[in-house]
Amino acid sequence: MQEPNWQAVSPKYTHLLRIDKTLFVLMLVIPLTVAVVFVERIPLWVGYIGWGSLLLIWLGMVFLWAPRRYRVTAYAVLPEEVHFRVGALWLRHTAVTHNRIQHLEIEQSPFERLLGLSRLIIFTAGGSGADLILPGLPVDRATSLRDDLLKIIREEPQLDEPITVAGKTESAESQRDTGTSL
Amino acid sequence: MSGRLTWERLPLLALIFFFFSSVRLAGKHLYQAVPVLAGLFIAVDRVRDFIPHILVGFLVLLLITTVLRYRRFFFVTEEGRIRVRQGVFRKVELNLDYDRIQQADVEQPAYFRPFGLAVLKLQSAGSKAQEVEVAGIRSARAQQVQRDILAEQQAAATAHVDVERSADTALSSVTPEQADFGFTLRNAEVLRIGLMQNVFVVVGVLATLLFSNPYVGQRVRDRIETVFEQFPSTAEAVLVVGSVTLFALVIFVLGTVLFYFNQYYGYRLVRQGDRVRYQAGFTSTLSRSFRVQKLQQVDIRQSWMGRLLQRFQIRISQAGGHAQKQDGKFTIPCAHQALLEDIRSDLRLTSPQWQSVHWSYFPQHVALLTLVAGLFFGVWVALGVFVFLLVVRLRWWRRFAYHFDGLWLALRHGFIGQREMWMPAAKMQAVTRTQGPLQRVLGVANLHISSAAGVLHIASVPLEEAKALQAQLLDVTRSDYRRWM
Repeated sequence: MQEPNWQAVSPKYTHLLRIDKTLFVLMLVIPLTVAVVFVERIPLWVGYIGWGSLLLIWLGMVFLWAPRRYRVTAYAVLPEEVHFRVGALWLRHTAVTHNRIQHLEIEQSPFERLLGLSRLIIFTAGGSGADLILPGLPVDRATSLRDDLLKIIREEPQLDEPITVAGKTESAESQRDTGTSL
Repeated sequence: MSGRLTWERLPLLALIFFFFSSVRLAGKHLYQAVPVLAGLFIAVDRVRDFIPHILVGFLVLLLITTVLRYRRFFFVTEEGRIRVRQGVFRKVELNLDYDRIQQADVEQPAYFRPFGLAVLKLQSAGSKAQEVEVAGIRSARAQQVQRDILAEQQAAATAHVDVERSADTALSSVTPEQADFGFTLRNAEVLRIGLMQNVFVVVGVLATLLFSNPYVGQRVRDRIETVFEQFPSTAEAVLVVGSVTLFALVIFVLGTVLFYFNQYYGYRLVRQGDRVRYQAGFTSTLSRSFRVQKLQQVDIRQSWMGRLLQRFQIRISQAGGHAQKQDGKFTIPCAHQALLEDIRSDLRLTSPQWQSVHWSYFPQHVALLTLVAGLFFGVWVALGVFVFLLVVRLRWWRRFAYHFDGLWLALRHGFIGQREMWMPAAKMQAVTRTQGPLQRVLGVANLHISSAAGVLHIASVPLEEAKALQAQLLDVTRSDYRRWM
């Protein structure tokens, strides 16, 4: 398979990942701190170990994982399909063709709004696993991408002929049988 | 606008339907409350005296809801759509356009049949599948709506072609011999359906259910112990309990057979052009239809019992199959080899050339599960688990295969039984390639191909092959502007 022309997402996506992971670590720090401070039976050294390891996790996430994650997140919009690739150790590469797109959505969380980023979500009929989410796009890029895709979808030809047809193929039509009975 | 519509009420007989439906709903909710109720029953002694009162109160509540639900249900059919207004506390008005309806079933429960009434079940194609049940409308009218829906969809599909009226009316009166394709299942075949179900799975589920609740589990255990104590020796007790269990199992199997016999009695399938319809049932009949152009996935299964009986089961899914319940699918419950071949050729499935996957798929999970067994039960158990898993995985890997020919993508797997999933390649919604660190070293990747009715997971394919397959799938899909649903 010829590699598509991959495009990087906005560099600000790294900051978004940092904010997300910081919040994630905080959500673990708060209950730990509450437990250590208010439950007397938990000795203080448990707290130190917990805080220490969470600090390490946080440092790793913010300074190693986030920049690397940004580097391995890429998308490509081809004339007839959209590709998205993410992951270094665990690689995931999803592709959707334009003629299977159901609808498009742009989403923005408060932090994304702060950074001027947004997510373009490409919905297909294949359920949640088959929806393509392009994260970390600058807002105007997301909108122009959406408008381009919408234009393409609108101008798609619609053929009446279905993909799946039952019955004998045309060549065998002449020797059509009259139904089987058990 | 809506004020001028004449909303119709259902006949009084529909009360029976609403009653059963209320009972079913209550049962569904109460089932989740079983642990709480059991706890209450044990903890608060005084509750026990009031059980009759509670039961009567519950029945009254059920009756009131039944009547209210009946009183608040209205519907109206218009050109090309149906509207339903329902709900006791939260009133909902649903507009279903015929061309958006995914599936239209006409069901005739035993209590409606003498009066010529039926239940019309409609399922919309929206992302959150909505279901409407119109109970107690005249069966001729229900069938008319079903026909209108198919005709509407046909008209939407072939806007300029004038619909062949003769072919369009009354698919129900076409016999399998007159149709383009069709067959009838003989009683001997229908009797096999129940046998094909995996009885031990059901028994297993029942057993876990019994023992999952500590209170009930303890009661059952006590009961068993008392029974055992009544016998002079353990051997006799085992013999008696064993034969009773066997007897119960036989009864259970017979019950299953009867259940499915009732459900699929007189199964008759006809296909006329694009439309397929089946009709079956003894006490209540069900007729279900779908259009071939909406087909998203064909599932051909054979359980281990099916293998002994040399019978297959076929399920055809349409879009929205993720949310669709198993009993909502278009099912051919029992087919022997020759019939299966007929159906395959009628659906134009190609003859598969199965491709095996990389050997690294074979030892998956073995190391982890062996480790867990070793940690908890010691070395010898771990060794046993290791050997057993290797054998199981070896067989699983040898039978795991896929097929792609530009038209169909198929996946086959199974241990004793077998399952084949066929998907029209050009109806693919998305294709994902994943690769873990270990797979990177081995140079393999997984492919996940989503259709509108489910996902085919092809594990551990050599990387170049995976890339090529992904590219080919995109190739056949991207320029195919024909109707996919």
